[in-house]
Amino acid sequence: MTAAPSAANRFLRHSTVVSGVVAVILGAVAVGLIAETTLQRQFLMGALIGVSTFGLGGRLWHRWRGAVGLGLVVCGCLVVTAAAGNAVTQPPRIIHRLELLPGILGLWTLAAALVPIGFRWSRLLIAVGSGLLFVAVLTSGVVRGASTTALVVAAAATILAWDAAENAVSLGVQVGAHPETVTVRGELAHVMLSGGLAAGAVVAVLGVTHLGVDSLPFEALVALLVAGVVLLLASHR
Amino acid sequence: MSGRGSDSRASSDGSTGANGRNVDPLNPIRPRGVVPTGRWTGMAALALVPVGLGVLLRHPPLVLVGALGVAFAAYARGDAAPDLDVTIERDLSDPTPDPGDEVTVTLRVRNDGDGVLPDLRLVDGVPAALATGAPARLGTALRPGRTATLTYRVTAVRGAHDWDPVHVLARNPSGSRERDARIDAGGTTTLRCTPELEASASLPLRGLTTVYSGRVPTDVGGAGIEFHSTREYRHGDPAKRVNWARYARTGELSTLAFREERAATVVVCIDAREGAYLAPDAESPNAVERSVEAASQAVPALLDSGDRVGVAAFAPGDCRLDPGVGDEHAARARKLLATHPALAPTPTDERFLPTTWVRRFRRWLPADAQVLFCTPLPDDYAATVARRLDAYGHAVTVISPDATADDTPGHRLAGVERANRVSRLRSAGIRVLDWGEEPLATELERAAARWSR
Repeated sequence: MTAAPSAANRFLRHSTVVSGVVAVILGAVAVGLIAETTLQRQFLMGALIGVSTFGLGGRLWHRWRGAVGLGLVVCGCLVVTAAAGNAVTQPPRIIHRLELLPGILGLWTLAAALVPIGFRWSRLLIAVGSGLLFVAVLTSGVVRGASTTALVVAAAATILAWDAAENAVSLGVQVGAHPETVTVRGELAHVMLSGGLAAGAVVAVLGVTHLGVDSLPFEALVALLVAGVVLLLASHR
Repeated sequence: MSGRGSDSRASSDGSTGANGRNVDPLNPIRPRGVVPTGRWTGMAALALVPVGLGVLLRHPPLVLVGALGVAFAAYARGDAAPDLDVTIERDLSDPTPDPGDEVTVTLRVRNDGDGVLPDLRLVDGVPAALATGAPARLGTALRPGRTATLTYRVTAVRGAHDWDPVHVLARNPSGSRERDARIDAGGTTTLRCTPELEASASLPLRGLTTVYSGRVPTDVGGAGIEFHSTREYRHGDPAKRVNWARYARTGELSTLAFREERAATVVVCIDAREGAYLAPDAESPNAVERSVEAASQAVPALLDSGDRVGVAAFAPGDCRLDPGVGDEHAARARKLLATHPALAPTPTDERFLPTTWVRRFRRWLPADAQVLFCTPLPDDYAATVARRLDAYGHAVTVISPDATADDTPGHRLAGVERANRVSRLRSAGIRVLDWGEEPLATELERAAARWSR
């Protein structure tokens, strides 16, 4: 004898599709911006194909549990691994190897977070994936690879990718991702609003650069920023 | 049906939906009002990492990346929760469907405020007993004056089902804060689904009867059909019952006595305690549903044969219908079986004191009443109640829907325990109808052949 369950609140609890796809695309944009050489871009392209195959396979497997989905997941993993392996071994300069690997791994982790296989781990995987993307951006900044504009836009894309992925999971928890549940409007509105803010912030930051930061004492710039953070943390709402 | 939810009311309507089963299973103790989501926590600290690296390496672009992070953190921190001023309406395509009918529910939400609601999430308070194919949830963005519509279908089951207030979550553009509210969709939306009472094969009753004539054969000699005995003629005996054959043979007057057929008073008692809501699997109807189905068949059958019928629920709440006869009584019984909250398709979490209930039930029960006890026999107490009522002189017949499964050792053990209860009841002289998969009428036919009077 089992207690009769209630079917009223049955809903599919996994991340929503639109925000998930947007997140992976934004992550790819971020890595693409910091990839300087053609070789790096080729590997990134390969990794992107692998990640897409992996994501598609995961979704198919989640819905039908068929061999096709599982096969696509395995194929995607192999392609990503091959791309990552090449990204580490092929580029002639060591700094090029360093900046691409976390980017590819970050994209893969982000896709794994949004594929509805292990929803429990989604938030952790999103944090790890976006963290790896951010590490890739920082590495590019540290090795002085990408231009200032590319670096700032890549950083903005990374934050937007995390924002979209987190929103996909949050919607998945509260509203669910049943095929008949409509969430597209809300998802797109969120992405567009965050994107608008990011565009504004990028324009402002780059505008400051063009004002001639180089002539400003470097310490003054840093002090200004730290003061901004302190002001932010101190402000109570 | 329409209702308005405004800012002040959103935080004060905390009592609605507090009956346990309607609380969001994911966040059972979620606070109401403005809730910080905490999704941007640590952003400002993280922004300092590139700044630190930029300082160490004296590389301005990294500091600019940090500035970007600070901008996002400031955005999240400065972003206030949206003011929630929405009107919600809910419509049912058919508020009084038949069981099994699909009903389309339309939920319309209109933004009456001045600002855009960039991220509005709605979870409709679907009654627990109504199954939905797709979840009754919606995520959308809503400009001022615009309306969003959520449509879903529910399958009607027996009972009166009230919708709970809609759970509304409105997030600000950054998602850093959300407003959590329960908003009523106007008055209560109620779906009433009242099945017809359908008489099944006649129910074999036990010998306890009233003084009125009916169809239950008794051991009392008198007017009737089935031969009982002969006795000496007494002055005033009707001429048609005089044994004329014997008079012709011997010249002595004697009178034939037949078994008197009398009406019974039957109280159909349904075990609807929380522990009786059992089903062999997720798809099957639970034992209370089957018990109510048995009662819905027994009540009209008994009323048709002239017996007085009452209904009671062995459950929290005062669900009792005094024994009676007639069409009006049948209608009352139908309404009670269909919509009484004590017999709802899902359990209530009211406190229940079975001993007190049995005492009160005995006081209420007419002395000459039989009891038709519908219970899946989920525990020993149900069997004890049956034996106790039988011992007090109310002839008890148990109709027991079988809710056991045999997929796991635990389920098999529960099945064995129930079988033991059934055989103990039978050895105590109580009739038990073990109702398995087959229709009740078939099981009754089979049982009637087995049971002696």
